[in-house]
Amino acid sequence: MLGNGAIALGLLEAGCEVLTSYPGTPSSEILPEFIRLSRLEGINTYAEWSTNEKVAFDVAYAVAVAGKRSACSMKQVGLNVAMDSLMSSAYIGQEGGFVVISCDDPGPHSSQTEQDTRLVARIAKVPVFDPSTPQEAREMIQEAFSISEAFKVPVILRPTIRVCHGREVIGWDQIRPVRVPARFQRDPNRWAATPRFRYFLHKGLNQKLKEIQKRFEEMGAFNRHSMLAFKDYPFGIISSGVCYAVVRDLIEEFGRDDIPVLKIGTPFPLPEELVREFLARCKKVMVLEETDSLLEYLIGDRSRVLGRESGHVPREGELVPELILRVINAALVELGLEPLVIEEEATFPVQELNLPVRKPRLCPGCPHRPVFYAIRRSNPKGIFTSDIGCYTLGLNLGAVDTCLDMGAAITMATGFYHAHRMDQVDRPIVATIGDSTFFHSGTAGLLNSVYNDARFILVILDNEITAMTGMQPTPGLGIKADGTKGKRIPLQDLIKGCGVEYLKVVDSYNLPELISTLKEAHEFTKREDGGIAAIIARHPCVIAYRKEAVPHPVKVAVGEECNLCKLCFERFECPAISKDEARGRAVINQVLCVGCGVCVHICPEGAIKPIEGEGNGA
Amino acid sequence: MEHKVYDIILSGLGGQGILFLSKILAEAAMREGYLVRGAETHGMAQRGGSVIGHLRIGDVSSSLIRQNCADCLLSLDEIEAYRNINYLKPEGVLCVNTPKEDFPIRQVKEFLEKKKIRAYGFDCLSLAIKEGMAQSTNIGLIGFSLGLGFLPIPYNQVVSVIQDLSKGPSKEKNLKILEEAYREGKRIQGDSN
Repeated sequence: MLGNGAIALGLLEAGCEVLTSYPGTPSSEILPEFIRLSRLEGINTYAEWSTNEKVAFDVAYAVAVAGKRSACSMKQVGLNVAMDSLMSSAYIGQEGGFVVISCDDPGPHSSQTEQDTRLVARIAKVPVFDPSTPQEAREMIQEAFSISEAFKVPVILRPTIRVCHGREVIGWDQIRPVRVPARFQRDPNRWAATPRFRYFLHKGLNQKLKEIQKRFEEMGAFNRHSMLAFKDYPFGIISSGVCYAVVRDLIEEFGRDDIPVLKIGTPFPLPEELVREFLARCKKVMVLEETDSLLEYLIGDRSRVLGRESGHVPREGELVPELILRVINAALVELGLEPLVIEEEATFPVQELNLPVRKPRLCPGCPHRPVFYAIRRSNPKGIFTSDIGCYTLGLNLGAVDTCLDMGAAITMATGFYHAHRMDQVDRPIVATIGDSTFFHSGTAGLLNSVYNDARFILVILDNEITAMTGMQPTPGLGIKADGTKGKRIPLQDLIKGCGVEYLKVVDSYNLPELISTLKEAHEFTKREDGGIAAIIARHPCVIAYRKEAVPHPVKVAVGEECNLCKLCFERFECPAISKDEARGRAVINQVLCVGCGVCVHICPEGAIKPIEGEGNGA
Repeated sequence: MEHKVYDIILSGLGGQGILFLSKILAEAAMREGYLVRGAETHGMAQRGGSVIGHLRIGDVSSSLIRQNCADCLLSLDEIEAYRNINYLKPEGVLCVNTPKEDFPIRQVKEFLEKKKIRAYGFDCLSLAIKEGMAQSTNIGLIGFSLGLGFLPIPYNQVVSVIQDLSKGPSKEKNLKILEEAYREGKRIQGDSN
């Protein structure tokens, strides 16, 4: 079972009745697994893809305020979006257990930052659990709900990508359904506390943390060490999360029981007594944790600590096993102790092979590709602000200049417009944003742009799905998380509702119309009575809806007119086209090609042509 | 299994079916009664870029394989195989989907020999295309590896997993690809003995 499946299982076993989420790697599979397992076990639960993480947080939080157990799941940068809610809810608390699952991405593999949710937990003053394996995540959820309910405080579970996307053999017995009646008790002094009362709530929270800390000291299942009684050690390791699993394997593999390990599963509030005892009996202690330092900061006296502050552990990137071996080994050598390995195995200098960098690319037939191509062609000197999603890969087509966070295509376009306008510089600005991202956090920015009369072209790349994170439905599709029909919210209505007066819908595969519409839209942004010009470039995602996206595949081939200008496989960057070394021209890989037929329109020599009698050119 | 743990690195490009390849091997190992841990790549990295997966058969805590420790490296792409070559331990096995007769490239040969790593290449893609199932190149690579006989999983167990996991008409084709690749692996293994 995938780690995210184990988390979903843990939620159901803990009697969590409601789960809300917004998809984001590595958290995306938790909610679908929660729905699948609920069905499988015949448990009545409610789960929703919310429009963004803040929304997900508030919805699940209210469920807990009403007395039921609930949870929300998101990726670590999603928690930034919900930060406002997290900070305030920590003071107010809730009645039913409430667990926030925020998945970190050391590396990063699929995120804008390597931020550490455990530090966010410290800022918000809420307890946090840090699992080292999928099974442990499942077990921690039970304890997280008990703590949350006993102390009426939100609790964070912080799995990292290797827990979420780790696979482990996990079995389970029949899950006992839990039903707590929803009973919201009116108490405005608490649920709507004014600043005067917030001081007392803050004081109460600090008191709760003290008591939770005591509980954590005794939570041997997650916080424990391997020291023998009455024995002192020259070197020990304090570790949490996935690093602990790696350390444990290393100690076992090399048979080094002489190195004690303190595992911390609840880094905040830190079980200080346990840490103090460990530190007292080890001359030097190495701290290994991801993604940033929390344990290390919380240890007041760091004179015996080897970690990031002392320069022994890298400050960025994932702590992969070979790296952990290396830093432990270096510390042992430095301390004059027996190292784990005397000499490291020789490695092959892979960089000398000059292997091509295989960066991610838009898929063959991706509807975003012609749109970026058209944007770049019609506004070569433009500023291209973009956003988070598959379409960030428009980078490769030279049509993405910025990517800050969810929704920033629109807000940054606004800033660029005002910065240049006040200096009387006229530069076309094209913002690209996906449909799901627009629903997530596009409207507030768009309302602001219209209200403050910014001028730019807004292209909404509508592929009718949240593609990057694994094909979750959107409000524009009107399908809910469990596959049932929801209310469909047409993008057109939403954009018009924001006050945008120019709105065109174009099929993303229709390159000529895209180019002419972009020109017209640019004119509109320059008119005295003009404004924001919005274009919905719509075409179904070729991965999610292959048949709908390419109902009539066009089989194409490269003719002898080809002069190997490379435009089709370099600038247009179709992965199905490459250089045919033998014939000195471009060649179509018929296995990869989906038959979208767009390349027929981009070849300057007209060398890419539909093959007669094969499919009907759409 | 002589080792306490059998470590497999899977590499290739996003979209080549590494997740499914990993799933089949993991499921087969589980049915053989082994504990299994794996680490997968999802999200942005899946879109055509380099992808790597870890699969650990045995009783361990971490899902990640350390460099120099993998018993074998199965790669759906030759370039990705070289990129991840340092995961292989001495006397490990490199098994790659490649159409090239002269695999592996000259530059790595000496290194592989020194480390006593055995390298095998087979054109799994052409075999899969022959059955009209280009996306089943991964099945071909499993069959080939099983034929070579270094994986701690019996062929019949993988057959039954594919029977359960494949759907519709692709099931028979997948089994055929598996069998043909398996025979090829067996043939090569027989030659070298």
